[in-house]
Amino acid sequence: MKKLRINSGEWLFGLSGRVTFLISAILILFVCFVDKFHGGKAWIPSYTQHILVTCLLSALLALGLNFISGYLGQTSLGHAAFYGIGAYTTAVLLTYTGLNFWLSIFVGMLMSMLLAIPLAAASLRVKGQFLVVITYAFCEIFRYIAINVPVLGGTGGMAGLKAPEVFGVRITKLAATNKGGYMILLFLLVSVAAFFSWRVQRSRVGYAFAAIREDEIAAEAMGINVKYYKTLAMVISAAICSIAGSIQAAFATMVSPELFSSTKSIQIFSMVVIGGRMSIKGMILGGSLMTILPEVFHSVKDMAGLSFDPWNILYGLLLVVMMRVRPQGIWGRKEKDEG
Amino acid sequence: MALLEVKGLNVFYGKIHALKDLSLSIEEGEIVSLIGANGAGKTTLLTSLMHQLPYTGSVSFQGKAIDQAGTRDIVKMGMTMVPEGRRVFVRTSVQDNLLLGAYSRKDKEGVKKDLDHIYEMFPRLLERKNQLAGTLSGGEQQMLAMGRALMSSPRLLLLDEPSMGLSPLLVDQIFDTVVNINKTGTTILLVEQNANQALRIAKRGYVIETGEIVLSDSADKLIVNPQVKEAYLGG
Repeated sequence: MKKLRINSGEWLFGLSGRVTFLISAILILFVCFVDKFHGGKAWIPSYTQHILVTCLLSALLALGLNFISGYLGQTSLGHAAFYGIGAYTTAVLLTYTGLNFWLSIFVGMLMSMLLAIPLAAASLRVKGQFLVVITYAFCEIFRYIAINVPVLGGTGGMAGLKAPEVFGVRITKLAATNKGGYMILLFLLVSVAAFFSWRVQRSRVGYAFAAIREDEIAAEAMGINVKYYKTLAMVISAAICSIAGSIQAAFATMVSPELFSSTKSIQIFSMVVIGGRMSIKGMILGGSLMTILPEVFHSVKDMAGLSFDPWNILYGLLLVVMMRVRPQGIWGRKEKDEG
Repeated sequence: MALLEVKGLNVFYGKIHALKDLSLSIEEGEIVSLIGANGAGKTTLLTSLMHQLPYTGSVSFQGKAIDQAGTRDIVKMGMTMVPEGRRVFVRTSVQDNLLLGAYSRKDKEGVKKDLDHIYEMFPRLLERKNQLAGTLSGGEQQMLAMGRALMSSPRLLLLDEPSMGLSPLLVDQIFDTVVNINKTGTTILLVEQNANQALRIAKRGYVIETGEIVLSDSADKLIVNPQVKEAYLGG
């Protein structure tokens, strides 16, 4: 296997990227296959596995949005759009054409990348709160399309999607548990996305992103094509989020207009902000935290018999405290002020 | 043939007519100073020359029309601006700032050579090459901004108020640097409020008032011109 160098030295817990990759790979494989040697009794509950898969999906989404909100430092509250486009493309293709799931991921990516271009064009002219409104509206358009176009199933969405196959084996049968296959697939995708981000960060393109993030006018004066790089970031970001959507569709065996909800967009954005803009490990941490914490507090609610969900309060509190105490996010680099 | 030839340049900010039929020309090897008060249109002129603003009129550089060219093409052709207020990338290291200045260039060897040259010209930047640019003093940031612009190896350098906000001693240093840059063969268009010093180092000068060139002459003549003395040199 080729060596994977992820952000060496600055990766999870100070270990080098390769070591982290290996350790997590072993952990994931352990979770996927431990039941096999155990007389079929489930060691790791299906619920826990479900959360693990969701963590990986969130990490992928955060890595996608990181191109816009991290590297370019721009706020987008509409990235659920690409998540939904990926998911719906896969659902439509699987339901109406019987196309292979793996190909549907690529079609979804292409759709998202194409639709990212008009969004980039519209957002090139604006910044700050205006950009937030444009990205939000962009996502809402697709939510209404999903609700109102009959072939997309309306508010109920589309259900009964078939599980994808890997060399003739159903993904649910790939590991000892039915979610193991998704875990392995997502783990590989997150690794690739993290590796890709790391490479981009250190490339010519990464330098251009940094210059645009810091001072657009100066970047332009240096001969950097600001429009091109902003569009490029949007297209890359859309493609990654779209992959997450396609897999979510297969994993849940259904899609619904909820995929396009503003709550989802805000959740993706908060993963990036809490994890630490631009930090690759921060994206994985942010994605996982924003997946695990709500689940923890749901169970607190059940155990304590509360009539409300404490997470809703804590979510708001967490965001406020983070903004006050550590605006750069948990793993973000401290950004010094000018002068 | 003039290196830069501007004819009938008009710029509007909405209804405001910021530059009115402005014409000027710059010959290879000169330092040309453009002086004028606040709001006269100095910065507007430079940003339009880089085509960061839309304008009408004809601008040609090295004999080629550039009024249809994008900013990055203009940089590639050899015209670079040091923007007003320096605008260095504050959260990026000094060296990376300089390398970003060479973004439009493909010749790695030449970039390396120019980098050494810049460090030779500004030893302070070499001392601080790994520091974030935001931690530099105002004067050092101005040197960095000039170094960054030189990294694109320009034939014509547009300087927008390099003395702004600097102490008198630093201002002298900056003007010396401008002369040195010019001696290495770079033509310079210097936009300044500090009319006295700007005219002293220049060969020719233009005076701009509310978007129009009102005077143009050799710098020695402008400096003794009673009108200029009265308005810009403190009588």
